[in-house]
Parts: sequence; structure tokens; C-alpha cells
Amino acid sequence: MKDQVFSVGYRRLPGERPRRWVPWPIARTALSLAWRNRSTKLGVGLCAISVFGHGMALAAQVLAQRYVGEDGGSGGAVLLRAVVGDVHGTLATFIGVQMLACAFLLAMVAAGLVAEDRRTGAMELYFSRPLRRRDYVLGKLLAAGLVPAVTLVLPYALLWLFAIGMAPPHAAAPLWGLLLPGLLGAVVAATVLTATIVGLSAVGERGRTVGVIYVVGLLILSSMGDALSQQGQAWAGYLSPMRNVQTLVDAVLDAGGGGLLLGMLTSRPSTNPSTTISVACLLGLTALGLLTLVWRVRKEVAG
Amino acid sequence: MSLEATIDASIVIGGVTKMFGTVRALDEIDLELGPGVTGLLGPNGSGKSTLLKLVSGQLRPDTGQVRVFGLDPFAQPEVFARLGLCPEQDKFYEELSGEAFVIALARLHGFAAKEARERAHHALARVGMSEHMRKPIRAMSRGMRQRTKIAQAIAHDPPVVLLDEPLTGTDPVGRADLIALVRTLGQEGRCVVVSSHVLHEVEAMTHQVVLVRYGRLRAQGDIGRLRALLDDRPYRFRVQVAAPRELAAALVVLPHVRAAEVMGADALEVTTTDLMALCRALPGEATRLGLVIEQLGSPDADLESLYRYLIE
Repeated sequence: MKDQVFSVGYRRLPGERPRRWVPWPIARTALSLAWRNRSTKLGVGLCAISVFGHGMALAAQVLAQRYVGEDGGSGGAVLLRAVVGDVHGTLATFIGVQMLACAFLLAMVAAGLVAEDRRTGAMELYFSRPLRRRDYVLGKLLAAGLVPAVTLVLPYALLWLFAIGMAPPHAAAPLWGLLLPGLLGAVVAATVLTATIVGLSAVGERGRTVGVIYVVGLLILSSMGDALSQQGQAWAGYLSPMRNVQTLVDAVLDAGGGGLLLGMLTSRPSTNPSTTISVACLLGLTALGLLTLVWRVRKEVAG
Repeated sequence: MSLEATIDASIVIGGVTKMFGTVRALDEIDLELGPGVTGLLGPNGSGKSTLLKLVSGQLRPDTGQVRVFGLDPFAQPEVFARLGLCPEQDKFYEELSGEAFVIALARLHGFAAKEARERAHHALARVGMSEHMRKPIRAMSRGMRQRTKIAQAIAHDPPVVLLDEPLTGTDPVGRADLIALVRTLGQEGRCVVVSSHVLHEVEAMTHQVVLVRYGRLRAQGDIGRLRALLDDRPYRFRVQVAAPRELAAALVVLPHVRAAEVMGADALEVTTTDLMALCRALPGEATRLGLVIEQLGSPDADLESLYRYLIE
């Protein structure tokens, strides 16, 4: 007969139940909380507008390609092409621009992920559950990561699908090569955004403050990078995550620009001279964010 | 220590000391807690919450050992599966409904969504929150928040339940319901530890108490037996009778009676070292004198007096 242990008298101790993947409930709770916030819906709207705008630009470019034809077209057609730009440039611009919109949304959704748990004492409740530190870390990263996944990576794939679906056969062939490099750029942008916001949230005290610092910080770094680079201080450009991502994306998509039309509608981040250094800076920033998160969670449950 | 070795005591604390900087929050605490309700009493800052945090694995002792079902609870998911914690603070996810809050925490125990929902509903019904469970936490009264917190602590049916100030902010009816719930949890064979400094509430839940002050254990056990152990603190016993002087004269000659003081025209206060002996002698003396005892009681045989003698 199998030995069984009871607490006292009749009450049986609960046995091991099949362990489910708990990071998802943690992420779901965080996202469900964020969705109740009106500013989150505003941020989602902002991202949707950006996707729609780039979709319209892509439609214009594909139609222009149909009009121009395979041979390159007349002088008017060349002018039209210069105005609407090309698909490469629009998809590359999309990632850079959407990254900023996504940063706004992340500031609303993910800034309080760890900061609010610490402030309200919810961490005590979490860690009185059968939960490991890595479950908590993964849950929070999943919550934050789903935001750029849905607003940046997925729309990129959809825009690409839209462009290739509408493009005439002669224009569709070069677009096939844009999917994987573009997705790589979008995933890198999503990873950097996720790691930095969660890392910042881990050291912050209040979600709202973290959100403001995050967005303002990104804007300051971008402006500073642009301004100093224009004055010949090229190193300053590498401080801006936006510029680094745009540099990587432009390199992998081999894109020149979004054309005059998109240039008027959106503010496309500038690029840095070296893709390698930009990638190294992005990796460094991601690692810093993740290490900060892990350090904080370890510290909180260190006893 | 094996699980079998601690079968009679769900929680074993041995020689535990916990320091916060230079402050000694707990000092050489030895404690064994079994099934049933135990009241953890002490003034603010006495170390009650620290003790609960040690048992719930939130803190690690500097010296000594804490065992819950024979296992070290610190960062130990196997222990947390058997433990329900209702913490003192109540500022949680304000925008979530009580139902969503309890479900979310139940799911962290590995329950599927459907089972977590069923358990949450059952727990919320037990604490009387079925009607208000869809209200956002921010719109809840203090009492409702307390009930929701207790619901999340019992939703996964844990054999050990730790309640830190569970009745704070509850209305009288809600308090009575929660007291009944805590007693039921104890009767179900769970080890329930209730930290509080509201003595009459604890007394209504249990007669098993642990008294701590300045991080040191002052007493542990049944209220009545602990009171009886305080030899240097004789009992005061108040009797309401028509002729208190005659009765005082009759009682003062008994060996265990230290003093008998007449309190006005119809009352008498007797000081004795043996309350039970006095209770046995009193009816006989009253009958012998032809007196009718209208009312009697001991003002210092309850938890409040025990607390006063040991803590204040």
C-alpha cells in the first residue's frame, strides 16, 4: 500500500498537482489591468493610426508601381515614385515610427508592472504562491513583450502581406526578401522596448513616474543624438535607441527612405554610420534592462 | 526534518532571531503550532507581522529554523501551495474586480481557468462577498477588501492559513461572520494563525494564543491555563449580593482568599489565588448565610487581563 501523509486526523495534505505555466496568468492580469485604463486605449489608437497611415502609403506605392510598369516609366512616373517612395523605405520607416508609438503605449501598459507591485505590496502576494522568481520575471516580460509584438511585429507582417498581395508580379518579387529581415528588425525593436521598460519599472517607485521618465528619456536621447550628430559628434547618435533600431532596419531592408509623402506625415528617425555599433548598443541596453529586472526581483525576495 | 516528524505541528519555529539592521525584530522564538486557530497577539511593532512573514517564506531567519510541514518555507513553492496568506496591507490592484483578483491569484497555484473561477466563487461565497464580487476593488469598503483578501487566502484550500489583522475595518455583522469563518477553518483541521491586537475578537475566535512583545515570546497556550499560571497575579472575583459584608466575612477566612472588599451596598470583590476553589466554595457559603447571588464574574480571567499582565 502506498504511504500517504495526513496533517492531523482526517485532513489530507494537498498533493502535487500538474504544474501549469504560471507566467501567462501573471501577464494576463497585468494586461487586463492595463486595458481598463483609458490612456491605454488611446495608445492603442495611436498605434492603429500609424499602421493605417503606413498601410495607405504602401497602397499608394503599389498602385504607383502598377502605373509605372516594369520598364521604369516616363518622367512623370519617376516623379510620382519620388513622391510616394518605395515599399522598402515605407516598411523600414514603419518600424522606426511605430517604435515610438509603441513606446508611448508601453509607458501606459508596462511602466507599473514591477513598480506598482512593489508599491502596493502585491509582490508579497505573488511570492506567497507556488511561484518561482523566473515565473514572475517571465510573466512581466511576457506582458510587456506582447504589446510590441501586437503593435509592431504583427503589423509589420500584415503590412508586408498587404504590399505583396497588391503588388504587380514584376514588383512582388523583390518584396519576398523583406519579410525575414524586417521581422528581425521589428523583433529587435520589440525586445529593446520590452527590456528597457520592464528594467526601468523594476527600479521605479510609481508606474506613472516610470512611464513619463521612459518616454521623455527616449525623446531626449533621440533629440540629443540627432542634434549632436549633426554637429559632427557621431558617437552621440548611438545613445538613441530609436536611431540604432532605424540603422539596423535600414541596413537589413536595404532601404533608402520613405519618400516625400511619408516624410511629410511622419518623423522618421535618422540613422548612425555603423550598424555594428548600433546593434551592440541595442544588445547592451536590452541586457541592462533584463539584468536590472532580475536583480530587483532577487533583491525583493531575498528575505 | 521529515514531513512525518512534524505531523502534529504544522508550523515549527526553533530559536528564530530576525534582525532588521540593528533592530532585533524577533529574538530566540520557539513555537509549535498545530491544527486549529491560534491568536498571535502583541502590541504594534512587537514582531507579529515579521513572524508571519517568516512562516509564509517572505523572510529568512538570521538564526534558527522555520518549518512548515517539515519544509523550510523560504522561497519554497512546495510550501506555498499549502499556505494561504492574508497580508495586512490592502492596496492591491485597485482596478480589478474582487472576482478577477481572486481568480488571478488562484491561477498562480496552477489551476486551470475554469477551476480557478469555481474556487474563487466558492471562497468569495464563504466570506460573504458573492453579491459584491464584480465590484472593482477601489470601490470596495475596507471590510469588503478584507473579505476579498481572506477569499484569496483560502481559495486554494490550504491547510495553513495566515491572517494578518483580518478584521480591520469590518462592520460588526461582517466581523461576526468572519469570526465564525475563522472558527470553521480551524474546525476543519487547518492550522489558522490570526495576528491581531484586538483582544476580544481573538478571544471570540480561539482560546489558543501566542503573546509576543519586543520580539520575544511572552506566553503560548490556552488563555485559561496561562492565566492560572500567573501565581503572582491573584484573581479578582466580583459578586453581587444583598449582604456583601456577611459574605465577605465568611469568605475571607478561606485559605486561598487574600482579600474581600465591599464595593457599595450590594457588591463584593474577592481576591483569590485559586479561582476554581472560590467558585466551589461560594454557593455553599451563600446558602449557609441565606443569601441569593444576583450576579458574579471575574473581571480578570479573560484574555484582556492576561494580555495586560503579560504585555503591558
